[in-house]
Amino acid sequence: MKRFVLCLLLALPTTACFRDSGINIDPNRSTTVDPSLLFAGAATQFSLLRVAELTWPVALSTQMWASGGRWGLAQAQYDQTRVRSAWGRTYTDVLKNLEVAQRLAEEAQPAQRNTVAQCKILKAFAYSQTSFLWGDIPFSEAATGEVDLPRFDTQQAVLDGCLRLLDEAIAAIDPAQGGRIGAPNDLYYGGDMVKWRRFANSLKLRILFSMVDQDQSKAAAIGQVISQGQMIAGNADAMQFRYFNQPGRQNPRFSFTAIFRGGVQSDWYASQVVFDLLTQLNDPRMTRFFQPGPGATGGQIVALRTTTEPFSAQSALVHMDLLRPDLPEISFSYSEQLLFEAEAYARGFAPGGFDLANQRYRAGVRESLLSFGVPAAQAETYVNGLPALTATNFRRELAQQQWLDLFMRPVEAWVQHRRSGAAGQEIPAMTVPPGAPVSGLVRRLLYRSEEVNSNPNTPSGLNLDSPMWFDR
Amino acid sequence: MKKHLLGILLSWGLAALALGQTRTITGTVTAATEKEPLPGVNVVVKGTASGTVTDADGKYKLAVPANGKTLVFSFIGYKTTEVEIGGRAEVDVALASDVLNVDEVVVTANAIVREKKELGYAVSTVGGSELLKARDPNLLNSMAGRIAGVRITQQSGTVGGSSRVMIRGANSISSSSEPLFVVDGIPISNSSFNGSETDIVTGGVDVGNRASDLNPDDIENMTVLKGAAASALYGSRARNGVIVITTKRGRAGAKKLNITYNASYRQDRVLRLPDLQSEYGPGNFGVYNNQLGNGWGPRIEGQSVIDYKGERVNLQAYPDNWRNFFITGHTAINSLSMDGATDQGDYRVGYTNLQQRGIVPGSQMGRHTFSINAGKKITSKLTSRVWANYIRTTSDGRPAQGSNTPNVLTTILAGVANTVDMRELRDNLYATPAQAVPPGWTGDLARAIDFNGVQNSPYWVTTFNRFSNQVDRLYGGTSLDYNVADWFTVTARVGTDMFTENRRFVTRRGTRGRLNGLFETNEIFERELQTDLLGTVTRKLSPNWTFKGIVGHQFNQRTIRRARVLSEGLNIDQLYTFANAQSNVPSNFYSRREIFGVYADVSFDYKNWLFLNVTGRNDWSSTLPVENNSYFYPSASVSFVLTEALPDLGIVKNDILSYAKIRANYANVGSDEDPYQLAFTYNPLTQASDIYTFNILYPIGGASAFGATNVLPPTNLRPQRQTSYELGAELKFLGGRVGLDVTYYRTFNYDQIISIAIPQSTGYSARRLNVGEISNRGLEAMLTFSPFQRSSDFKWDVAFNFNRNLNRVESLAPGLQEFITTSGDGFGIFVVARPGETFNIQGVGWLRDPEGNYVINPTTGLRIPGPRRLLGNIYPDWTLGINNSFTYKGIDFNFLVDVRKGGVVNSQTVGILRSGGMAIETAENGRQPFVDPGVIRNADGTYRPNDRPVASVQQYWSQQDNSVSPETNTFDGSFVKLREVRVGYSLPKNLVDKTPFGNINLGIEGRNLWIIHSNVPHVDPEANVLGTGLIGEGLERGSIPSSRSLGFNLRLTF
Repeated sequence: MKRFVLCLLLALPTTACFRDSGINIDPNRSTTVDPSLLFAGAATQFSLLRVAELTWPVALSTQMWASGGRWGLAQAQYDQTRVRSAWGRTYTDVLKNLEVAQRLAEEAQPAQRNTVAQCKILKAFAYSQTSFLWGDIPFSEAATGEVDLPRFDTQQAVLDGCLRLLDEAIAAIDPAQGGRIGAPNDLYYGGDMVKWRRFANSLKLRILFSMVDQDQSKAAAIGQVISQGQMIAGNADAMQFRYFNQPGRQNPRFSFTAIFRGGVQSDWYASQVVFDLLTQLNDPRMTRFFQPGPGATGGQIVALRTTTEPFSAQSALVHMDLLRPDLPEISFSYSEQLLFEAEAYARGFAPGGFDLANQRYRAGVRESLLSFGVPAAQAETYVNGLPALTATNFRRELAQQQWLDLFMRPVEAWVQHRRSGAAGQEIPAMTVPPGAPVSGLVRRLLYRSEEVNSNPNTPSGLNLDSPMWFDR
Repeated sequence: MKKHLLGILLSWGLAALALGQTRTITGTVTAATEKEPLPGVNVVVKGTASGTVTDADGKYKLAVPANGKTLVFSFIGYKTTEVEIGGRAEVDVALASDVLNVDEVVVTANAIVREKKELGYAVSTVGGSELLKARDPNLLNSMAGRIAGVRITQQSGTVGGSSRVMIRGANSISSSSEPLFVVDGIPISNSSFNGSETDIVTGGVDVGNRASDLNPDDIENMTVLKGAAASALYGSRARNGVIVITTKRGRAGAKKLNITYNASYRQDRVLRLPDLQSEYGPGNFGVYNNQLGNGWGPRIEGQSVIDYKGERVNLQAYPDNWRNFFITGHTAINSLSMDGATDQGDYRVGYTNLQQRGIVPGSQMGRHTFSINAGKKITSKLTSRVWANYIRTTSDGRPAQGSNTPNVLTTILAGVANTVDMRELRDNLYATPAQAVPPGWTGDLARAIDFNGVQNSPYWVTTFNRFSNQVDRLYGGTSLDYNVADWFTVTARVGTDMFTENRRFVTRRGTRGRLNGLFETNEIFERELQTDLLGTVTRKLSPNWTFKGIVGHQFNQRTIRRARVLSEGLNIDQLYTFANAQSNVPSNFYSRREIFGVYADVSFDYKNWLFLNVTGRNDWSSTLPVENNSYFYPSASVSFVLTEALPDLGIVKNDILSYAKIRANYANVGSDEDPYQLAFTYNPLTQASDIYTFNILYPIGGASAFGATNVLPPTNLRPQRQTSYELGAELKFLGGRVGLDVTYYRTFNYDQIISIAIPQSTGYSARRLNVGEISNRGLEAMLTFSPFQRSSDFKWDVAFNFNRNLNRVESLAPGLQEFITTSGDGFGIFVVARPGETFNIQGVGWLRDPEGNYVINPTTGLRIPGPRRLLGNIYPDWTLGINNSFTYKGIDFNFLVDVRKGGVVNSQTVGILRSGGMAIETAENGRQPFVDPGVIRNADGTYRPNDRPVASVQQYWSQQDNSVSPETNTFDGSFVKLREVRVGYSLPKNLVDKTPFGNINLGIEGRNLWIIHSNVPHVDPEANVLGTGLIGEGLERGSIPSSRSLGFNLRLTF
């Protein structure tokens, strides 16, 4: 009897070591996935960061918008704690998933070349944006999970790497072939590879323009991109992420006001710099950018006169039309493209001189006005009244228009402002807000503590006003 | 399914009762000294499981198998006595009292009963009667301060709120160190699942912990197994200690049926409210502003102002707003049980009803507990038992805690200006669209209390934004004992614990911050199944040596199923159906894990004074890699009873040292990890998020999304290990009037399975691997003494329960400076583990000069936020419980004082009250700017004393918020509390005899009565927002204040 029990006891476990058991196979998650599902998640997360977490703090600290002290986020604070997840999420939720999607597409039989191109283009966009915000960042060893402590590449190396990614993508694109992420998971272009190629070339232009003041060789590269064509050539080509007027799919800029303020915009105010520039240009975008404060007399637009002035009932606010629930997040607009082309001609990077420069300049400003809802006739009048670009005035005139065009795109606007002139010479001119923690204008975000604490390669000793390589 | 199982269990129980069986012995047991009959004495046929209990007259009747030769009589407080039956049919016994109580038996691992003196490890036992005095809705709270080595912390004052249990310090840097709960040999869930870390710290509800379902009225006793040697046979899950609970069984009594009725009623009031100023109204820098919920306005002097409703009033303070908001809570517990026993079997059925109203308006909880426990002798060799408990718990209106969501009550209260009358808010709640809006109020105003519509009325939140849940739970099991021979018994046991919980948390349309309304629905199912088969061999090897061996097999399976739906955008107000929501985001989760274990336990007893015990267990876990899923762990312990050995060895016994036992043990136990952690997986995503919580839900534009895991899966994962040593002594002096039980222990946890944070730039946030070592060493001492002779009418017993535990993170992954165990990033603080330290709160500290003085900004006169630093250890240096018990005739008076020394608490509530100018200290000195002691940095790098007054008192206190630096809001967590006072009175027998009752006991009970000393202003130093599921303590944010309760108790037997 005893022997029997002992045998039974010993026999039971030996048959139960889970050797051929499926019990530890996760029923909640998958071990395989289609790249298009990863791509959709990466794109949505990327756009959300651009339109939310990277909008408010950046727009306020770069003086594009003003808070008037309303939101506990004074301009002067250069508040970094409000950009808390963008670093991590860009790497873990955007770049990593694009990396994995790209690998899966490469390993597929046959390889999905267009999918690979789509992933590489979005990666180049995300890496370049991350570098424009933080400077030197992990690039060559990043987001693969293979290197535990990724190296921080110089900004120049990162941006050159992004150009390389874009060139590889452009070479891989074959609109006649399948192997692509189509609708609905390509939330930008629905799988239209011609448009993806156009965006890739335009993005090259944006990156090259940021580099050209430090790296003269980029002038020729800009000329090459312009002469090759195949860039964004109309509003239909614009790179944008759409939002919808449905709960949970609304533009978060709308949700903020809708959820916190019952739909009454009372957080984002007209900044002095934008107001002054619009006034000086007698710009019809004034009433498109801003709505009068609830207590303003006669619908007057009243800006906060200093960067520290508290809001009042008279203070003009960022217009609710620009915070619509279904307003898309713009990643690259036609007007931005036209103004880059104007700059290329004006600076002689591409042949065509000021004739072509002025043509693109006026077209670009017109598109910008139209995009903000200025009526066509009014836009036409304004554009015709603009002074022609000349060798002496083009820097100022063009840079002003380029900056205003980016009113709702603080990340690009910040790049534009920093590259518009040497420190203190930027267009338009800004002063350091009283009480700022550094003596200069904000020029970078600081590395997040999560990275600093875990990666000894993180550069140290940088201040908020330390210029990046492109900004020197 | 539940009903089905209950049916099966019940029918087994009845079947067990119906069968019958043999030779009958009767007799009477009396106390040798008082010559009075002793009820409740255990009578067992030696070497068998056959036994019974004496009735109220000390009489017993027992069927004895033919081979039964000896009866064993045991009763707490008396010497266990063995009597040869011989040819007698009646065996009367007089038991000698045992003041030393050395023959006490305890229930150890896997329901194995042992004599306490043979144990080579420390155990603590709490008798069920102790738990019945001052019954608490959460059983764990009744244990606080009573048990050596066990620290119990109530997490909040929420009805049905949770309590954290920690035995001998933290054993993991990646999971909370909650012990295993085992009832009648079957593990039960102490789950407190409350969503993700983010869910908990950003506006979660204290959902309680499932061990609070245990009903004190059904508990016979509770044993705490603290060290690994004690719990090794429980396997992997016993790493954090085990709380072993034995439920009550039927007892033989004077009547066939014993009926016990026990009623308690208590009133609960807030223990501690913040000290608020009522000198200054809302505003900014002394200028009145009716929009602000702060105290930075002008001095309140009856001046004429426009109030928050737009009416012209004379400014007035309402200093009792908080007091008016919290109400008096009530708790009523009624329990009724019936039991009985014969020599053929026993049964007990019980019902307990608990009704509780919380101190937060509208919060309530109800609980029904049904229990049955029945045993039956089927044949002389075969005994069966069945037990089942069904519990239904419902609660409604638990308030949210933490931060971020608009429902967090304490934050709302802290934002009600002292010039707003709380009673006015209460009486003018704009409840339904049909209801008339009070004159002068807009609908919005009745919801929110500022024109900007940011701040919700507290009554809006408590009335409409309610968390409710229902738990249906069934646990129990059945067992069979078969006496193969008088030296060999086989026991088979199967049991389960299963519950379903439905939760709903609604936020009404119109709530500020969530204007469109939303609700969250959670369905949770958990089931645990365990089977045990064990054989026990007892053999006398020689006159001096006895051998006991146990071999066993165990199978354990745990299943969790959860479904959650987040529904947003309600079309119709207050209609909480999925179809009424504009968006529903469902998600679900399932997990199952299994463990097979085999174990052996061998013990030798030499002359009843030297005991040696060796155990070994091997587990196979489903959650580890197949090639590494088997792990063996041994333990050894020795117990040496000096006072019995010395006379035996010819050394004379002395009168001073009455009893001395020395014990020592070693154990090494292994443990597995959570299921499904081994593969590289892709997760279906429900949403994209950023820190502003305006999440984008999938599918968007028709696109669904997946994300690759953020945790790199492990390679070559091994089981986690824990090694422990323990050395202890149990000493009794002067015939037991002074007792000392002292234990020193060390534990090392290594090969921990942890997700170590890696730079996010890798694309992953963590990598899972075996790494890190954490150790605990500590001292437990229980000192008892009775200053008066036991024989006198007056008795005074004092017990000091001292615990000191030093927890230390020995190592982390190579190169890793610190590990964030819990991130309260929204709080600006983290709980971190650093090698060479214990767990600490970390956050931005004030900048200091090399001498440690605050560096002051020369322009503003304010402190300057510096780098992040450790702000203090979250665990206490030591704790002390002092229990005094006085007995005079039928009256006993008892009080418990609980002392904690060391450890820190960060209170965000304090920060909010101070930065808002509400706390009393912000009104000191007429708000004259003062010079903050500190230094100013000179241009040459030297420092000079600060002479610059703060720019304003408002700026000074505004800076004390956690978001700037949590340092000022981090306090020494030491406290002295009067935990419990109770007075009990048993009516004299001659009075009771004139009633239909057997016994009448009356009691007055108070719990959590007084914070005698605390260094934390405004809040209870024990509050913790992290609950029981997360690692870390000492983070308070928006916690519901704990309550003080006072009530009475009536206990009747028939």
